[in-house]
Formats: sequence, C-alpha cells, structure tokens
Amino acid sequence: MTAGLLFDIALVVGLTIIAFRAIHAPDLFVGAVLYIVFGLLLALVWVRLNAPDLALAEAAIGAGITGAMLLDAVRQVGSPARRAPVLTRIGRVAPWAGAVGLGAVAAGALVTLEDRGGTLGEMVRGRVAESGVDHPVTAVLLVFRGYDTWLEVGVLLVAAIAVLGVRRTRVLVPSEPSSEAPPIATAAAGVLLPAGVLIGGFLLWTGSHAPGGAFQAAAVLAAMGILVSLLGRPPLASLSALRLRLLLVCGFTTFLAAGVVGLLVEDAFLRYPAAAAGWIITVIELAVTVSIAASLVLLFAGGRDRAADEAAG
Amino acid sequence: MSSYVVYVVGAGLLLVVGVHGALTARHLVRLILALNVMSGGVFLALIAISARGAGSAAGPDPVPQALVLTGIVVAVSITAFVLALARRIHALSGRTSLSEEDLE
Repeated sequence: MTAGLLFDIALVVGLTIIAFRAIHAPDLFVGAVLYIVFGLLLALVWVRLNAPDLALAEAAIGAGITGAMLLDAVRQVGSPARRAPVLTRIGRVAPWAGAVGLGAVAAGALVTLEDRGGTLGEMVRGRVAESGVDHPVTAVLLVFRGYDTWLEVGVLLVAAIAVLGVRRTRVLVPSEPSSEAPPIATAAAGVLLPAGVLIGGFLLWTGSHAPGGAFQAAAVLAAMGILVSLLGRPPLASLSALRLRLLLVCGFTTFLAAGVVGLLVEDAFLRYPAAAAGWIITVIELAVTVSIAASLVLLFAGGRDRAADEAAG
Repeated sequence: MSSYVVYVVGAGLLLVVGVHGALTARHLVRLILALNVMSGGVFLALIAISARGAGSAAGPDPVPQALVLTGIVVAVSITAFVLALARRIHALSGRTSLSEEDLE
C-alpha cells in the first residue's frame, strides 16, 4: 500500500467524521466551523483527484462563502436547539438503515462501474483547439456546454432575486450603519483588499489557458465584498435599485446576447464565429464574473439585513 | 485497492451521513448542512470517475469537472436562499424548525 493511498484513506475517513460532527454538533456555531473544515478537506480531495479548478472553487465558494453565510446565519437563528426527543428504537435505527442502504447501493454501483474509455473528455481534448481557449475545463464551461453555464448564471440570478424577495427589499441597506468596525478587521482589509482584487483579476485572465476562470475569480472578488460588508458597509448598498439590477443581470444578458449572435451568424445558439471566439468568450467571462461576484455579495449581505428582521419581528 | 475505490466508497459514506442527517436533524441549519454534505458526496463520485482515466497521458476528464463546478455554484445559491428563508421564519415566528412537535 503506497503512501498516497494511505493519505487518500485518511482523507476520506476524516471527511466522513467531520461531516457527521458538523451536522450533529450540539452547538451550531461549532457545526458551521466544522463545515468550513469539511469544505477545505474537500478542496484537498479535488487536488488529489487532479481537479485544481474545483479545489479553487471549493475553497473560495464551498468553504469560504458558504461558511461565512452559515456563521452569520447561526448568530441569528442558532438558538440552543431543544433537546432532541428521545427516539424509539425504530426511530433511531430506521434513518441509519435507509441511509446505509442508499449509500451502499451507490458505492456498489460506482465500484463495479466499468472504465470503458471513449469518454466525452477525449472528444473535448481532441477539439479544444477549435474552442478559442486552451484550458479544457473553461472550454467545456464556456463553449461546448455553454448552455449549462448560461442557465447556471441564471440560477444564481434567480437566487439573488429570491433573497431580495424574501427580504422584501429592492436595495441593500447597511445592516449596522452606526457600528464601529473592529480595528483588526479594518487593518486586515487594508492588506487583503488590494491583493484580493489582483488575485481575482489574475484568476479570470489565467482561466483561458490554466486552472481558474470566471467562477473562481468571482468568488475571490465576492469574498472581498463580504469582507467590506463585515465592516458595516455592504459594497452594493450605495447603488440604486436599477444599478443593482443591471449589475446582477449583466452576466446573464451578455451570455444571452452572445447566444443570439451565434444564432444569427452561425445559425446555432451559443456557437461563436471561429475568428472572434476568443474575444467573445473573454467578454462573456468578464460580464459573468461581475454578475456572479455581485450576486454572491448580495446573497451574503442580503440575508443579514437585520433591520428588516426587527421590523418583521 | 485503488484510489478510485477509496474515493467512491468515500462518496457513499458522505451520502450515508448526509441522508441520515437529513432524516434526523430538526434545526433548519442542520438540514442545510446535511444537504450540502449529500451534494459533496455526489460531487466526489463524479470527480473520482473523472480522475480514473488519469493513468493515460491525457489527464482527467474535464466534463465532470465542469459539471461539478456548476454544481458548487448552484449549491451555494440554494444554501443562501434557504438560509434567508430560515432567517425569515425565525424572525416571524421565533422557530428554527419545521417539525410539528416543536410547535408546542
């Protein structure tokens, strides 16, 4: 047994234990922190499995932004849970039986899955030169399966609209306008913000030929936005409802416009003219980055608008 | 035993933990955590399949990787929306769970 395999086993065992502890931690704050650890371990798994794009996205979105949302929500709704009711024996065993049965069937099916080769991946690698970008994952996201990515940007947009709807607001209101920002956070922001903006820009640019791209770049930029939110100034709060909407929809509409151009020029939705493909992809990625970053900041800051809670409560 | 087997068994274990959590947890935030653990298991299965052909010079299959990247962003959207709903429920009713027994 090689060291690499031992590491894989340790990683999987650690993931499983931390996932269980995160869900069932008596203190929800501890659960949220454990979930962040879970996300970081998952990012390590993606590195082991040769998926650096995912490792970047998982660390930034899965662990980072989701973690920040959870920690912030727990502050509000993390009231000490009522003692779990004493379950009957069947009540304890049945959920385990169902879950283990499902997991065993899934794992069994995957372990016995034949590796037949001839995957889509080989087709992608064979034709990546035609796509206008060099990095295969970006080629799949923006060119070969552009339709999926366009709709995914739509999902994020719908989520942002839904959060605003739940809050019954059209603009972001600073949650704690009078509160003084903690000095350590202010100092950290001074160092992190310029670096974060640079890293975000770098990730966006590098996505055309190496791991990185619009999603990772947007996640890093959104993290900077969340940092500023935590200092009491949501970066989108000064925007009017119209400007906020324009920021949120620009990714979706730019993607749509590129699709329509493809329909008119190349006779197929989202098929880009070969000569201009690289440029069109760059423009889409820029617009998508802006929209995703704005949506993620809104999803975080929109959820934590406490004034509305008090008004409602 | 190969890395592939280790990771797909891991995917199964995460599915077990997530489904069990979803069936037993009451607090809305715990349900959201369980949902995210389940999707982590699904992502792990996809990426283990993607990496299986890595023995060849070609490298991992980029299609499942793109799928999971999409999945991560959808998961964070859902999490944010459900957390906003949970906060609204808490603000309006003071409850943190949807089970009937907690109504009192």
